[in-house]
Amino acid sequence: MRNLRLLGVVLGLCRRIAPRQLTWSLLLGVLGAFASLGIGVGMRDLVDGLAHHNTAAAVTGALVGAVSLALSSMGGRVAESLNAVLAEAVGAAMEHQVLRHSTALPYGALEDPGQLHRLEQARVPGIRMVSGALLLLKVGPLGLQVLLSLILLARTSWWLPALALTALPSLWLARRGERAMRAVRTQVAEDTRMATRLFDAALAPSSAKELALGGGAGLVRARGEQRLRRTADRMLRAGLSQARRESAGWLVFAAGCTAATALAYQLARAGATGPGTVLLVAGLGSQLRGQMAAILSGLRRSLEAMDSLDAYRWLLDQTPDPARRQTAGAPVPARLTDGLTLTGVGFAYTPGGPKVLDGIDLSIPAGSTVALVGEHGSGKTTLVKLLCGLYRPTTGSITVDGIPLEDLDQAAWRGRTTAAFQDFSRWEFRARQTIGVGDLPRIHDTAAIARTAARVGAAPVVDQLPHGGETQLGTTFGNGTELSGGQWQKLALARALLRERPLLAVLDEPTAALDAAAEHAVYQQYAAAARTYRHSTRGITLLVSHRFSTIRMADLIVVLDGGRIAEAGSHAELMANGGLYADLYGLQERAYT
Amino acid sequence: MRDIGSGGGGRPPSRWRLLREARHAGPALLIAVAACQLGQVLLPTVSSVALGMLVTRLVRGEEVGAVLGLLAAIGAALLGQQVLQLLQVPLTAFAERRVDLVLRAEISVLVDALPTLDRLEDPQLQDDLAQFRTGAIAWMNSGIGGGALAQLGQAAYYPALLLPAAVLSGITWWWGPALLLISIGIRIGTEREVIGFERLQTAHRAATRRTRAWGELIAGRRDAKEVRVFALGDWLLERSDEAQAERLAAFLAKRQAMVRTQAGRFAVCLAVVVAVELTVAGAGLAGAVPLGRIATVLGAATAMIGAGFGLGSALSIEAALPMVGALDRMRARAAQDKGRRPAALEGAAAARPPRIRFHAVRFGYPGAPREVLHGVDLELVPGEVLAVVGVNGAGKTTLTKLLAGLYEPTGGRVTVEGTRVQELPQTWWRRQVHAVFQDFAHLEMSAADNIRIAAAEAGDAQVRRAAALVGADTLIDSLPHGWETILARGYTGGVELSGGQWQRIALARAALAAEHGARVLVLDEPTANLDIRAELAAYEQIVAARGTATVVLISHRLSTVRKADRIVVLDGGRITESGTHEHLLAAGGTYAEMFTLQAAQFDQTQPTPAVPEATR
Repeated sequence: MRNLRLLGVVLGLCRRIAPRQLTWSLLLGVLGAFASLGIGVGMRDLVDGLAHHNTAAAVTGALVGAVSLALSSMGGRVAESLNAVLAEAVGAAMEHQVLRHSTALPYGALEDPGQLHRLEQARVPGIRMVSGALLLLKVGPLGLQVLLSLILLARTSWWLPALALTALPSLWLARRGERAMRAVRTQVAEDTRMATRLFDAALAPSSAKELALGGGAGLVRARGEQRLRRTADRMLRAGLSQARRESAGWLVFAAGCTAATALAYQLARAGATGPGTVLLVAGLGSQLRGQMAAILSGLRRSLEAMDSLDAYRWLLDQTPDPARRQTAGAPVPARLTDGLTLTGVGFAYTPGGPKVLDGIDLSIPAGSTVALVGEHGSGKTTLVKLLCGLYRPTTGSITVDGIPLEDLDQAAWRGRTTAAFQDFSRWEFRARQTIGVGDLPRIHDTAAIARTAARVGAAPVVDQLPHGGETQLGTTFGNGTELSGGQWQKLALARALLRERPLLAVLDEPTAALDAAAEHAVYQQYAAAARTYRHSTRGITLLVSHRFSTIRMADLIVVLDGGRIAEAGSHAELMANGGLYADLYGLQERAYT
Repeated sequence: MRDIGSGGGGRPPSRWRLLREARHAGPALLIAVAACQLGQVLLPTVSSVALGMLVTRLVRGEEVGAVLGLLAAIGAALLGQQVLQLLQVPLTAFAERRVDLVLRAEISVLVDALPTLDRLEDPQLQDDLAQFRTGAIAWMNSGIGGGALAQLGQAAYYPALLLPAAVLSGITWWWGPALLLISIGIRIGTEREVIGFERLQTAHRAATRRTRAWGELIAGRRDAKEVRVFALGDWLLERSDEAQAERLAAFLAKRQAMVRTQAGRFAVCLAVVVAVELTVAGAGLAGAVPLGRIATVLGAATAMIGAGFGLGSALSIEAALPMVGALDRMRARAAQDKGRRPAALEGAAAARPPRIRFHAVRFGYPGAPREVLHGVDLELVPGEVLAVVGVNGAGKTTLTKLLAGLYEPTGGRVTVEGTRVQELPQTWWRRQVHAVFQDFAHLEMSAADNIRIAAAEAGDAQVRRAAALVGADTLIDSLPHGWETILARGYTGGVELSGGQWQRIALARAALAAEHGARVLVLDEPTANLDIRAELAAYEQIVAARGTATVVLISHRLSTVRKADRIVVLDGGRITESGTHEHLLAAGGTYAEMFTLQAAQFDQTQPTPAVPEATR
């Protein structure tokens, strides 16, 4: 039932995108159904015509047989090609939909293995989804063939349609087998993926250089092989046991066919029918097998596509149509007046799972600079993602000037936040665009982009490129220029600081690849940005850092420990407190004296 | 039709060349697969012969009891076809995987055996390697194994067609050849189309890859945060659609052309089949052929045409050919490399760290306009902890790659106890040096294996001990499946570590390598993602874990660097300063300037340190 609904989705798209091809494909499908019976009927008429020296009947039989043979074989091939046209055109449209809706998925969905798996399923080439659906559609004409075959058999003897019953065990066993195979395929998916990733790692220069030392390549190879071998063994075992089960079913059916042929032989010998009927019955019998096999393989081969299609529907249902997304929600203030308030905020990655953050009560005044301090696993990154709107709190609420964050016009709020993440993106566009995507409305504003680049020390990076800001970066989209980690980072910084009037700017310790002087300059830049935002919009700047030169200048320092706020206050207050902060500060200070 | 998808250049090898790679599946498996294929082509004709005999007996008026054997044969042929088909699928898939397994191993061995990294980075080799990566073939994830087995199927298929042809020609000589030609014509025509389509795909491979890359940017996890924060979805989608449009138009045109040629083929097929059947009817009416033979011929004709529509294997064959070509090129290059370096010294781990010297070393990356190193003179004293500092892009990482022998200097020499690195046995030297690079590998393997790559044969106890030395053990113990946890999301119980946590794994690699006989450890920014407490502890841990090994440490964190036995400053492609922390601080050079800047953040009297002019 699910599959029929999914088929409906695909057919609807076909009718809209390529109606002519759909019509011809359906027509040839139905003609093919009659033609495959015509082969047997023609043979019967020819042989019986010869037996009774009836020239007209013999010639008609020969013609019917010949036309049917050509139509059911080569005609079927034409239909397949038409289907390929459909798959190409409609598949592209579906891929577009998948991408469009995937951006509306909440960020958390991509960190959930279950939802990530569904998204990956939906992202198979669209052509595969459509082809799979059309395979399922072919089951219709095949069903018609079976029906017509049974009518022809019944006209010879009322006993003969019982032949279909002998096919039932095989059908049932095949269905069971399919399910078992699917379970196995899911089981081996992780192994296959790991083997592939490890093989890729062995070939990529970036990882191969490390694997060359210490014999790591051998280990990676062995582990990949182990997984692949396990996949091969499991799939073979499952395939063979399915073959065994299905063979038992086909044994019953072959016995039924033999009995039917024997019955036809008996009738012909008694003179009730001509000798041609024996051929017709034997032929229909063996065709019934072929048609049923085709139905099964159609079902089987469409299954994978059905899972993808199901994921496609899930994705479309899950996310609002981005085009029809209304600018619902409260307007975002031009300037902050009160600030951000977190009340009892808690977060768990899975419902009922362990809380990464718990009981966070925090009020961040408008115009302030906040530094987030904490050791690894303290919940810093999670808190940052919550404030960026990438996660929703599991408990508690976040308000902006008293308005709950989720009630705000989301698009507008997004337009007023900016961030530089530790694992920033390496957008392989033209250098100008790589910075410009930080503020899309101004992506063509070369002057503003150059200004920002100069401000964060990214101008030298851009200037040394062969075509300046118009240089293609990276090799993904053409033969562009590769940048070093530090250079990418400077562009990421420029991108984050391109927005001029943010209400919230999150700057997450992005200095891992910078040298001491550059790092210092960056933090100066952060401080300058924070000052600008304070004046222009009374915006909040959130810094995540281990560098005390940055931390110290913050108006408010929040120390996280084990998902809770351990202490909060200014540098002076926290030093006086003698808590975790004073402890960490002392440690680093001693390293420099 | 041989020049499809040549990718890396050169002519792809013959299709029969694939059979040689099929051997990796083993003879028994190959015979079984071929038998399945052969049986499926032969059995329909066997069945039609039996049916013809049945009609003959019927005309003679024999009892059912007398024809039971024939009836059983017809039933058995029917069953046999189905069983063979059922067996063929898993057996073929298994054989394909066996072949791919062997070849994947061979390819990764070839890559690992490359003498230097620039050989691996060579665009020609990267093109060849791209052939093997998943997703290189648009339609299916088929490797060389898939092509090899498909070719085996073909080898069994054509001879099998002679049986129905002989049956047909037994009555009128031209029926056999006429239908054989139609059958083969349909088959080869279909293959041509498929191959033509593959050619189109090859021509658009770059466009397809770009389309997919756009898809990855939009829907992938890697960039998901920025896509959302900067609301880039629509902008990216527009570009993705542009990339898709041209490709789509070409593919649709090709598909539609295929529909037209196939309609023509349908007309020819129809004409021949009508001619054969009418002459069959004529022969029967003339009384020249008994009814049973007529029945057999009709059955054989149907079987023959049906055989033209067998398995569609041309695509996997054509897809595999460029891969075999790439593999052959890689093998040829490896054969050239053989003997150029001394063979491995078995078990000859150096008892103590060697003296390593850089003599006026110059280096520029292949194809890059300017040199990175302009004459580096440096000596690594056995057992010392040497810190290398310098601004971004000064060539610190390059220096370590030369040390590990991953690159060959373009000028000057790097020597180990007087011998050039390039003249040392490769596998031996690669066990003497261990490097944790800045972009160290995040492998989708268990936590234990992620450490173990530094010394592949290390046992679990050793891995745990090494992890404990750098404090990674508590982290790993806390993972859902402990040491067996896969360090990537998307696996059952898999966990993605944070940057700092990964760094602990990398440090554990260095510790393990040291314990396993590595005499030189290179650590490139090992603490960049660690917090203060961890950073300081990490230095002590590394120094304790190294044993007697020489350590080369690159770090921006001068707080870590200052404790080194010796510090060198790399500036402008040369070593400009060398000495202890106190020595360099007193000298008042670049190092002193850098250190003062970082230390200033703790100077209570100066809340915001001045920005230096020379940020370089």
